Amino acid sequence: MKVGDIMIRDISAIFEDETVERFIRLCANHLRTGMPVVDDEMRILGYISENDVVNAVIPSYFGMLQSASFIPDTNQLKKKLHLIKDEPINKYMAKSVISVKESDTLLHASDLLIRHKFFSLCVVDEEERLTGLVNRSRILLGVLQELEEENE
Amino acid sequence: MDVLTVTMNSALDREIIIPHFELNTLHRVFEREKLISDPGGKGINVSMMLSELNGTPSIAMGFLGGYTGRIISEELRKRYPNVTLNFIHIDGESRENIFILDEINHYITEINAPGPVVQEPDLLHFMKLFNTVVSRTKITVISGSVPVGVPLDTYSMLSEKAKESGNKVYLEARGQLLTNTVKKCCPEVVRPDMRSTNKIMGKEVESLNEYMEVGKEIVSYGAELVVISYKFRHDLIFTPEGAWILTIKEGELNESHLLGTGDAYVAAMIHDCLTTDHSLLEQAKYGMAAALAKTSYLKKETPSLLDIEKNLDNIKIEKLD
Repeated sequence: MKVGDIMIRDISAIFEDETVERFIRLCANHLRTGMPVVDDEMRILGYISENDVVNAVIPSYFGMLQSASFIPDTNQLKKKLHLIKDEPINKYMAKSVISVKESDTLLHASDLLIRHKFFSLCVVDEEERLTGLVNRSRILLGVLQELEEENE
Repeated sequence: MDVLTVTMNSALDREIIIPHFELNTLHRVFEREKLISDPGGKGINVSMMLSELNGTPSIAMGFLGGYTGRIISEELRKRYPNVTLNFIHIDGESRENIFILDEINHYITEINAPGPVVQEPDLLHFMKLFNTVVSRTKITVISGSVPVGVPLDTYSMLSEKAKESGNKVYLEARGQLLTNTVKKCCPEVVRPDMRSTNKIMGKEVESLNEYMEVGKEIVSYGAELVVISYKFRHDLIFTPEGAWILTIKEGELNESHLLGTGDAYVAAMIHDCLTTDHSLLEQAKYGMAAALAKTSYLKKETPSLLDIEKNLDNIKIEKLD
């Protein structure tokens, strides 16, 4: 079984000059945690995830704290988000994106997902243009299907 | 990827089969198969039918909103792996179209809900995405109505972009949307949507002559093929070479089975265009055969290629002009 057999053929993407606010709204409506960033030929320039935005609005020392319970209010967050919401997403996106081809094996895709701690990978064609996504549950589903076929 | 379909006003089609449907009565439906939820909207229908006809892949674009929108994309993803989704998920709810089909009395009752309001940033995003995708395809299908917030010259802008990228454009629309697009940037194939209207290009059509005039008018704006449904059993075909009337030779047409016939027509024409070197007139005949084959099913179903072939012989072509 190949990536092309189990991938999600959804090429929803965002352009690099769209704002952080636009990204947040699109994700909320689409129930996504991130989106590929593409150029005007659908080639992948980066990937922006909600994590990238969260990291940009939360002070970095938060990660070192055991708990955030003593922080008095969300004003700091509000202020920070207000500052960046109209900025283009290319300031916050991850610029090196690891992608797979439809002809790649599930093993190769799983290896990348585990190695880089990603939840999903972009799938691209020979010209590096986005054709869809593959995530952990789709790979597991594909393996289950293979198991069933072997048992038949 | 050869085909791009645009569905600005996508919908969830709910087909409910109720024999002896009556107003002001409680109808209980006992079988799950008689309550169908299907992704819909004319462009999406064409994508689904292309996939079922011959596994032809396509990209479906447009707007989806809210819970209904998520059901549409989930159903497409699950059932039509050949359809690549490229929808913008916007605020608000996608529409639901309810069809109550009564096979006994041959009634079809439709309730169309309004779509979400499209905001300007969403429309701009759509236009940009469209330009990005259309450079990869050969045929663009622009079909159906537009939701509130989408200006009536949008289709002509899409038609222009698609043509610039070397795409052949199929348009199925009605009213001002059709008139504007034909006048500003006429697509190659135009099929005026005649459901619930007797007006084309702002003119009422009744007699064959009036139909002929309007058909020729659309050709004069640059269409290579115009298909107009005429008095139920006929299709009028206009090309720069002349006009023809296609007639269904025999067999009763069931009026409760008309759901999805227009989309079967367009999907079959595209399938014929991609797989043969048929003339436009032959493509139209193939489309009509598909629409005819579709009428043997009550629900929105795709006829098989074999069914279409069988129905080809049941269509008579006569030259009018």
